Amino acid sequence: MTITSLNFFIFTALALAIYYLLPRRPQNIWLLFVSYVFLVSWDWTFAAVLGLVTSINFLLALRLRINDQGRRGLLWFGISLNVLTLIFFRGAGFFLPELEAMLASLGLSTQAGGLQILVPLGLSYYILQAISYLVDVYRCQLKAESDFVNFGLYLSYFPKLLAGPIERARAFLPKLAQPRLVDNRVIAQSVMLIFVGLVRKLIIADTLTASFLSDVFKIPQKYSPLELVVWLVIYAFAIYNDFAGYTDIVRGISGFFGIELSRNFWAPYFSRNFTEFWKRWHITLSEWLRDYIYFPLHRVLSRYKTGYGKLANLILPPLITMLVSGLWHGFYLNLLVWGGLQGLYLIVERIPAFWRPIVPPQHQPLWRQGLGMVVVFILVILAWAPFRWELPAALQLWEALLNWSDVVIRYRRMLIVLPLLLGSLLLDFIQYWSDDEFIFLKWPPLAKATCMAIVLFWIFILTAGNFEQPFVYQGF
Amino acid sequence: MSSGLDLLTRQGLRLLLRGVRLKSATLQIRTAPGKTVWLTVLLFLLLTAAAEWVARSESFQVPLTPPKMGSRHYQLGHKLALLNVLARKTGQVDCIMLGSSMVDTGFDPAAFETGYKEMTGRDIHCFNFGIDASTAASTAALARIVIEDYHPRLLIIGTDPRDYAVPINDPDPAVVLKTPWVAYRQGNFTLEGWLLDHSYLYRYRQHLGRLARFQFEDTLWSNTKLNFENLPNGFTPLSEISTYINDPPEPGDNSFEVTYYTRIYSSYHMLPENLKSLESIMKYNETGIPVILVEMPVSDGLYYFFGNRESDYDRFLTRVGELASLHHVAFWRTEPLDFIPDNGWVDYSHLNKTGAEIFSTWLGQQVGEAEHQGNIKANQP
Repeated sequence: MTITSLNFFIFTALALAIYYLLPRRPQNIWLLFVSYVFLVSWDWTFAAVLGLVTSINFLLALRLRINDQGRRGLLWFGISLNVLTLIFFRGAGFFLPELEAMLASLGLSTQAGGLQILVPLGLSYYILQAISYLVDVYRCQLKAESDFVNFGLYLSYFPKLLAGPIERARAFLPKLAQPRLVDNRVIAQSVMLIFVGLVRKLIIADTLTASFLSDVFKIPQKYSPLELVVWLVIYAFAIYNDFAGYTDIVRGISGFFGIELSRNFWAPYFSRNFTEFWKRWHITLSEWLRDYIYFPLHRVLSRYKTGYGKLANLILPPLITMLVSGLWHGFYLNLLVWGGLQGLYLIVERIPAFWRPIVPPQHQPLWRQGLGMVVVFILVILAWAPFRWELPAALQLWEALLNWSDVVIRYRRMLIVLPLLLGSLLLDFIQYWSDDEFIFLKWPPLAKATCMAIVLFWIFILTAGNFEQPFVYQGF
Repeated sequence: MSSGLDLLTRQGLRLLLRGVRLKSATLQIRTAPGKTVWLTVLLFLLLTAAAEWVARSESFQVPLTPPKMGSRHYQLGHKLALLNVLARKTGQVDCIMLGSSMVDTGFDPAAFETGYKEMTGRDIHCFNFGIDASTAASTAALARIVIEDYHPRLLIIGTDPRDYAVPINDPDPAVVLKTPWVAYRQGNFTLEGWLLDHSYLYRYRQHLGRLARFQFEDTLWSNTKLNFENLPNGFTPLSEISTYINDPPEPGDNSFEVTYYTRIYSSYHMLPENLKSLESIMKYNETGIPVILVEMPVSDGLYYFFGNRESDYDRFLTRVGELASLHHVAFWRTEPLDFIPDNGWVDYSHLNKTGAEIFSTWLGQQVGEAEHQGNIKANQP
């Protein structure tokens, strides 16, 4: 049941109809039930894993602080357990063939098709939420939740279950304790988010994704450097709109339940430096990495005031943080390279801090801001190569980009989709310029209606093509 | 009563325009749609109407493959489109032959027209509407549609024992009947069926969706595989020649063909509902549209698949013959003629283009002769 399917629409409508009739406490029980039904619709084992993770973390958190003293050992035990769960499922692709070979050498053959472990849906997201919860409880930033339903809902709430946003317990749990209000303003905002999300996902991202020729990701050297640049740009906008569209849709859906979810993207390709890029791209993951990896590392290394200590503090926190980010996306070498590259960008950006204070981008001259945007965009799309292409192919792609003897575009579809890139930029620009995510609600009725009618009509056409693309970040 | 209804309508309209205030613990809204909603609905309808107008134009339809009418059957939409083109080109399709894949590969309209002309000296335009996996039930449904839409002067039904056999799932014999548009045309209302029947935009929606995702195969007419297989008159000429058609199947032969025939013929009996479907086609004969029933030729090897060999096959011929005489419909048998040479077969029951030419010429001559004798009026408006 993907979130752009008719089944999901009916499922949500039914869930809402009963939800509105209930008082607050039963509302949470109902939402927990609905969330698990949603998960079971994919696979019951996913629900079992989530139930286990929820129970363990719930119990651990209750014992993390005794007599106002944090139990460090228990915290590390909890973190390790969560991380190992993630490694077990995400790393199954690596160790299962080895295990199978070992069993075979012992004369114990497995069934046809071999050993298989399905990665539970949303695992990477709810594991991060569980870890942040334990750390926050340990740090006294949050009281351990005594209501199992609320905590269960924090990890399993179905609009954010598949691919976030990665919510913090200290922001999310209080929302569950409060009565919820869904008025006309909330409805309008939710509808707008869903519309924008559908435009991003169905119209922009899916069309851009469909424009890829099947061998683009396998033999990039087949294409001219100009074509490779265009493919990279198309990919950059496809992945962005896919994920941003997903987030907008689930935030809109959650709005109907009266529960506000965090924003995950804010015009990232208008970033003027890499620090800003990570404040605008997958914001909830970036903030999680910042608070639970970068800052702790930075604090530890800040104790060393010598030259090497300072250098280590410049290099290690961003590098390790981005490597962890790469690993979180998948246990593949290419993703590690992507993370390393992003870490390197952040390190280089911080080097001037050795001899002068860093000027925030908004205080820089306009030409510097513009130049910064262009440089960040170019380097970010170059880094998308190892994110999407396997490492040998990514290396071939980079190599091919150095040879500009053949500057042609032979595939018309590359040019056909270019207006979609402009559409994506325009959508971002309107929100970015007004600094208002809901700016479209302030448009005159005729303008709003025209946009909505065109979007509805286009979706009516597109949904008939039997072309359902899964959300990219659902795979992480 | 009427004033009561008016009051209800007025109240309903007022409720829709003004809305109501919903006030539960969580939901606190006024339901009245605002100006934006009304404008969106209006503009959406305008946009749809404009698109419908475009979709009805020939210049829009020509480069695209025919719509599938909601069917999973790969041939149905294509044959309908070919029939449309032929009807437009000739002004009138005089005869249409319906049936299964045996008709699809076995009836060559061009050869039929030649055979007919030999006997009458007149030209006739025929179309092959044989559909893979069709049975008597789906043939009856399609017969109703082609009669209503194309008003042919002669309907020829190619029949064989499979038309009445207990169905097996692969290929799905009900695939044509399950097509929403076909079901709608049989009087089973569904919204999708209605939309497919009335809206060209809806019919071509899937094409547009696929084109928008760069899926050109089976969307553009020039890229369609079927386009290279079917002739404009609906005939699918096959050039393969089988050598085994007079022999029993090899023991242990698990090919699809052998398994399929074994499953449907080993304990053959005729379904009454399919015989009723056949009768429903025959009844058109009474409404002034001549119906001819033709036994599709089968090879001697096919008898080996029947549990009771020839006697099962004879049972089929007898039963269909009885119904034909009951409804005063001509039933022409081919089995005694044995006129298909050994190089005229693709498999046990499908003719190749050589076999199709011989069979179709014979059929054309038969129709011409019957018309000459005043038994049918195929070419007279």
